[in-house]
Amino acid sequence: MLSILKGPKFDQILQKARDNWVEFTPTKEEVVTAGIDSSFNNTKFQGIELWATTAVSIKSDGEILVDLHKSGLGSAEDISSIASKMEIEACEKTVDQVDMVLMDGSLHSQLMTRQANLGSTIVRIMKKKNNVIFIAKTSNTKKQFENFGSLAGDIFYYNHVTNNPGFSKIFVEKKYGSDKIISSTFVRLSNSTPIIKLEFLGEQHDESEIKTIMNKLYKTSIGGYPYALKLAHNNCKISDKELGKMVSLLGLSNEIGSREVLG
Amino acid sequence: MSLGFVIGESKPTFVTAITSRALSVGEYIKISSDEGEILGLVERSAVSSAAFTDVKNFDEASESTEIAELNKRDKTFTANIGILGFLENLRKGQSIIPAIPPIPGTEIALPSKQDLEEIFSPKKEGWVSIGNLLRNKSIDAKVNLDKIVSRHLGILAMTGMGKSNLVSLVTKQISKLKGTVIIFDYHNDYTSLNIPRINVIDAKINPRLLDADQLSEVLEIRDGANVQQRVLRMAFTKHVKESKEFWTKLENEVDFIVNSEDKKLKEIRTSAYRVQDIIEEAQRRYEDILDPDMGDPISFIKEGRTNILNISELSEKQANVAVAFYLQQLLKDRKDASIARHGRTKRERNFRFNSPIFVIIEEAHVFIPKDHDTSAKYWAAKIAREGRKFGLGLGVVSQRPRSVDLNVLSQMGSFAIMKIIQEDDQRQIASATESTSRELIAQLTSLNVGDAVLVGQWTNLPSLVHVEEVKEKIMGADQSAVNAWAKADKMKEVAVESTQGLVQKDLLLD
Repeated sequence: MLSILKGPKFDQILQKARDNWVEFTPTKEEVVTAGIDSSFNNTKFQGIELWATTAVSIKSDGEILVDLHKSGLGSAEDISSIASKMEIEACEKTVDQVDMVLMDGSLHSQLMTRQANLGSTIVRIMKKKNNVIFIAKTSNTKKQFENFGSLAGDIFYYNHVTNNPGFSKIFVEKKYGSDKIISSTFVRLSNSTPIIKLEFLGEQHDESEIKTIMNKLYKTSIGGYPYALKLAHNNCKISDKELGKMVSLLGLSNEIGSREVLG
Repeated sequence: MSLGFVIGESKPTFVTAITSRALSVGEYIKISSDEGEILGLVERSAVSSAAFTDVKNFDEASESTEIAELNKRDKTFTANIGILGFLENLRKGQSIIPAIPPIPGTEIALPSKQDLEEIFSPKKEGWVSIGNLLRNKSIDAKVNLDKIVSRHLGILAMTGMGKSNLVSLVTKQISKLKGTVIIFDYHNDYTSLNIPRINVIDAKINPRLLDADQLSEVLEIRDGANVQQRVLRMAFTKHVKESKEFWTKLENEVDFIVNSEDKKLKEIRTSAYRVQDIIEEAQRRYEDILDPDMGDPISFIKEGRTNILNISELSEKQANVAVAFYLQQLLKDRKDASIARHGRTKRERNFRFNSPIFVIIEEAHVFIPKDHDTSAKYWAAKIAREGRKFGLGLGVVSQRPRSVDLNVLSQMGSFAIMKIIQEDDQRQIASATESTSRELIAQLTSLNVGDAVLVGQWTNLPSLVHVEEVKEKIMGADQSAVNAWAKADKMKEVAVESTQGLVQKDLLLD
């Protein structure tokens, strides 16, 4: 299977990735970090839709800073966009309270897929303290090696360079405009852990800053992934069971036509 | 002070709680409800850590330790609590389960010392202390002795976990009350028990008092040797039983068969020769055990004493016959006494024991086995069924509950269960003790020496206790082989030194 990816250009791309890779073993640095994540879920019955979204901002020590909930009946225009808005709201309420705010996902997708007004809001919040970082466990971007004819995402090649901790040279993208420049780097926090992708706003970021950020992330990471994000993810999940509870709270489970009568 | 809250789905007999600290299994807690305060027992306790979920390797585990310390919400303490009843009723010895389950969100708290003392240390006659609650050490654990004599007791545990210590303790407490205890001591564990009013008897068998089948077992005629058994049945006549010279008369009867010219008797001559040998050998081998002139063995048992019947010298079959004989006689005696006391008989008073007796059978899996019938099992089962009416209590002690007859075991009204690891044993206990929850039985593997789960009628509630050590018990503890070998080696040297002095010098080799 890998032979498809390891085409004739593979070694060439790998060499390029190797050249881009900076070996660095982080050391733990004290910092107050918060992770932010959102989730949404919906259920349909009798032609009506019940939807619910949550967004959470939580510190590595388990303290919840922001906890937002929204729900409604009827077709929501785009639940994921409501969740994104809430995430940004949570971020706004968090930036002044901690040293470093970790957003789950990609700044790219935020700027590309959301409404324009949302993009400018993100930019405003991120610029306030310059302490917001987007962190993604997976990445599909094929920017850095596309001119070599790469088949896989950039993260695939960095994962094959080495198992040692370190980061890739900063990659700057300006396609969204001068006020929405994205700097990104692929990072491995400790030996043999998966690579994660960090994205920052603006181009004024250098390698020493990346090292500092790695030190700070390393302090509260498990298996190469910041624990605050794991906590945020666990705290904002809306399971089907919870949605069922909401249906029950709203008294909808006893509506005529409810499926329970079928036994 | 709030200890936690009821969560999830509650039932009248069972709740789950999230707590502020890890609770110990066996700990008691109090739940407030509109109907009154409820007492519960922690049957299962679990701690989970968010930081340690999904940890896949050592490095992640190592990183998680730091994270877990940082996060004050990292740990989740969950307890499964069995509801024991309303506190108010439990104080009176009644277990009334609430009709309505505690509402999730209800607070749980620790009961006060007084709450627990009123239940576990009743200041009533017949209740004696056997230790303290395992998780509330300041509370005395008392048991009701009346209930073990009237409704029997099972003591089950692996070897070395404190069975004989508990037997000694129960015996000591009954002895203080001048009660009659009989222990069938299969391993010579109790003969050195240093308590007042002890009466050690080397169990002997009076062959006159047996039937032919029992005599066959005592003489160790093989199970399948049907012809030999038939010879013995023919020889063991009423005249033999009543004869002054028992063995001589019995041998004469067998001789008659050997020398008979009767066609049918000639056919069994070979077997008769063998029976002759067996009788001869038994007289020689079991001289100290088989005594036709001893009278009634029951007469050696003294009322108001702790009677240790030492059956350690007997073979398994002989012990079985002896135990069956004693049980049969004791039941008969207690029946006669009860009938006489109630004045419903015209027969003259002919019984030995005026007061109830507690009989303890050690190694019950030998005498009351699950998979085959023995005469001891027959009489033990009869006592288990009828003994309560006549003041004859049965104590069944075993390290292999799975091999003890379930019919007898399930008649035991009270139990002390100590460390048990084998699942078969645990299943058997669960079948025999309906009041013991699966969770509590699952805890048996984690008990330490001297810890016991007490269930049944001798306690107001199922409880985890640590049994007090009986200092008067000398034997029964594990022996130190290392010390014994060292001593034996020293004694060898002493022996050599002392004997060399007696040998002529010129005969000694250099």
